[in-house]
Amino acid sequence: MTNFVDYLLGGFSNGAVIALMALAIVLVWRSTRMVNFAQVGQAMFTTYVALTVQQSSGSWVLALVVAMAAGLVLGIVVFFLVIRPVKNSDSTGAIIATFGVLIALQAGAGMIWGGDPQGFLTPVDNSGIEFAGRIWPISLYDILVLVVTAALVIGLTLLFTKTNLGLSMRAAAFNPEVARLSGVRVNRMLITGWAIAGATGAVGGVLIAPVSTISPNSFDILLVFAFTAAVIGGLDSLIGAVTFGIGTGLVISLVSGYSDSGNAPIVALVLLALNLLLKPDGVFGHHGARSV
Amino acid sequence: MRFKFATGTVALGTAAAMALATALPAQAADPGVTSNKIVIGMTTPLTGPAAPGYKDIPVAAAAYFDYVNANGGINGRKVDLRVFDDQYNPALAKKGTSQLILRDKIFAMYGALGTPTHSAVVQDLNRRGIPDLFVNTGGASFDNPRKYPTTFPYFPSYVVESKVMGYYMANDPALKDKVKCLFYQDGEFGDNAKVGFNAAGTKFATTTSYYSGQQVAPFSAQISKLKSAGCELVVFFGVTSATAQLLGTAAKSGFAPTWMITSVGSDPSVLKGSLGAAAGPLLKGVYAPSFLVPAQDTKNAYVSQMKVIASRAGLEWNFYTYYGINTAYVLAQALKAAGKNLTRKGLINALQTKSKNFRSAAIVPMVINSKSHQGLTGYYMGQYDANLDIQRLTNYVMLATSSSSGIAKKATFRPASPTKKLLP
Repeated sequence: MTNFVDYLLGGFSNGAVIALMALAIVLVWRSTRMVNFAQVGQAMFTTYVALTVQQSSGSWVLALVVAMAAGLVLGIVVFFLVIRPVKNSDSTGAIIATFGVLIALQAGAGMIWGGDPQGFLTPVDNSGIEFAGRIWPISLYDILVLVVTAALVIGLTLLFTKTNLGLSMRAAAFNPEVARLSGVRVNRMLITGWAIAGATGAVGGVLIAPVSTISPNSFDILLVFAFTAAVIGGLDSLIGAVTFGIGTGLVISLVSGYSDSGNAPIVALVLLALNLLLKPDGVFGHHGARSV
Repeated sequence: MRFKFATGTVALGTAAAMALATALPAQAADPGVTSNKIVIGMTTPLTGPAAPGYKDIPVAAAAYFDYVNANGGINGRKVDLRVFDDQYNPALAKKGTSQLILRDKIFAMYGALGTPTHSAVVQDLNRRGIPDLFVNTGGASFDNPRKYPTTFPYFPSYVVESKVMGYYMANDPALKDKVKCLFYQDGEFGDNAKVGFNAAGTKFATTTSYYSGQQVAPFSAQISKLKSAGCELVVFFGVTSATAQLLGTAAKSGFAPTWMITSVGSDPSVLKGSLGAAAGPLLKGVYAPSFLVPAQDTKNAYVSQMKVIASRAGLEWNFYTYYGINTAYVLAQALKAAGKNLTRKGLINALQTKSKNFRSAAIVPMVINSKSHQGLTGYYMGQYDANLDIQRLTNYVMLATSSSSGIAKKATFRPASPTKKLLP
């Protein structure tokens, strides 16, 4: 029984980071109706920026803020340089172009920071909390990660549902023509979406870095799980991305605990396939939010 | 008429070729060898997730060949090493190997790295009769002279390593009564380990695994499982980035068993980068088998001379630099032993008949003959100190084969001293 609780606790904190990446994927989908496969690459790149800041200043908070700013800028740059020129003529081409961005970012990071994995310091204690006579596999830092994730989801949900900006962004993505006729500055909304997604991914990168190591490819596997979580959640739903991001973390943890961890990616993909067969709009998705 | 004329030309041509063939000695028939050059190919990751550490090997080997070339080469020929960055990707390894064979016209492959990558090309290399020397992996499947007559592994296989670990754990007074557990990477790497422990008769209280890439996040579930099973000695068969995650997650959970880590999973320079200042305290006391003279043992004639070659080339002295120079040194001796009239057959024959005389920094015997291409045959047991240097714990070595049965045996081995100036 304690094992089961341990697996759940470990799964929660690992799932929070998958949830953040899934959130970023959903944000791009919401703003431009496309999947950005470079999201983990952008997060990796901004995490390196954060690492440089942390190494020179020693401040984790400053590193986080700079990473978010870098994520914002990088999102805009990628959108302007790569996505906008391609997207209008060929939306599939734009998605493939994001793979190109991913490869370019990985190669660029390798050229700037080298390929050797590097560590990142935690802002608060990362040793397991001692309670009722034993050490539990959850630390103050894990709690911080969960709190930041929750705060981001609540903040973004409010942005999309309660503000004019959020409404305009949704309108611009959903039906650009009509939105333009209603006075929405569509292009500006698309850019805003990419910028917010870049910043969200950057937070995810900085949060996972202290419990992982950073190298140009270290976040690759996250893409698989974040994408799975975003799709099962409905691609359009913030709460769906977070729920299934954490759910994916729990599945990996339980499968690793009770059977061979090699089965974890298989279980995740089986769940994705079942979801696409049984509920192709995603669990939290609205009908027609996604069409293939 | 025209057809007849053409046939006539072919017939004439064939006759002329036959006459030439009988007139010339049977030398220079193989690609990649001229009177003053030998072209050697290598596929290895220089970029991508597997590059850290390994990327230093080809540079070190090239530094050694530069040194040999500057001293007159091998039987008058200079070694020309062509390296292809396969990013540890089997598809790229295949592309790279074809390019090396067809465009660079290599004489032999050397130091191709990785089990999945090399599995993609090993049949093609053997079908073409290309010598495939010192594959950089402990995957036991490459030691199979009947199936792969031109392939020669170098370092002892993971099966040998787990047999050696099993032997040591069963006999060392400090370890034999501990509750033992196994944590391995899924796939052939972990499967090899299980074969060896099975043969060694090692009983584990529990086993757990991770999939390649899972080390991006903490191994919380696995550590919980090991902790609740009461493990006192955990054997870890994983790559170095996973070792960093293992030690980090265990420290977080207050889990401090005795660790024993595979020789390919504990590169100190990579651990230092990812664990920072915590690396020393976390790695101190960790057991790890090894087969080379410890790299910090500069009193040793091999280490001191190889270190000079590395520093003259401006290379950092670490395990991979050391390993790269060492295998290049063995390759140079094999090429020399194959004689002035260098052919692929001659090289394979030299390996199978003369490898006993090859010198190297390995302190275990090397076995290469027509029946076995095993390469190095065992390990000594080492332990990390607080400086992240591996200290030799056993003055004896433990030897085993890669077969699925049989246990390791204790032996003593005194390596011969290096050749003059470390030249072949």
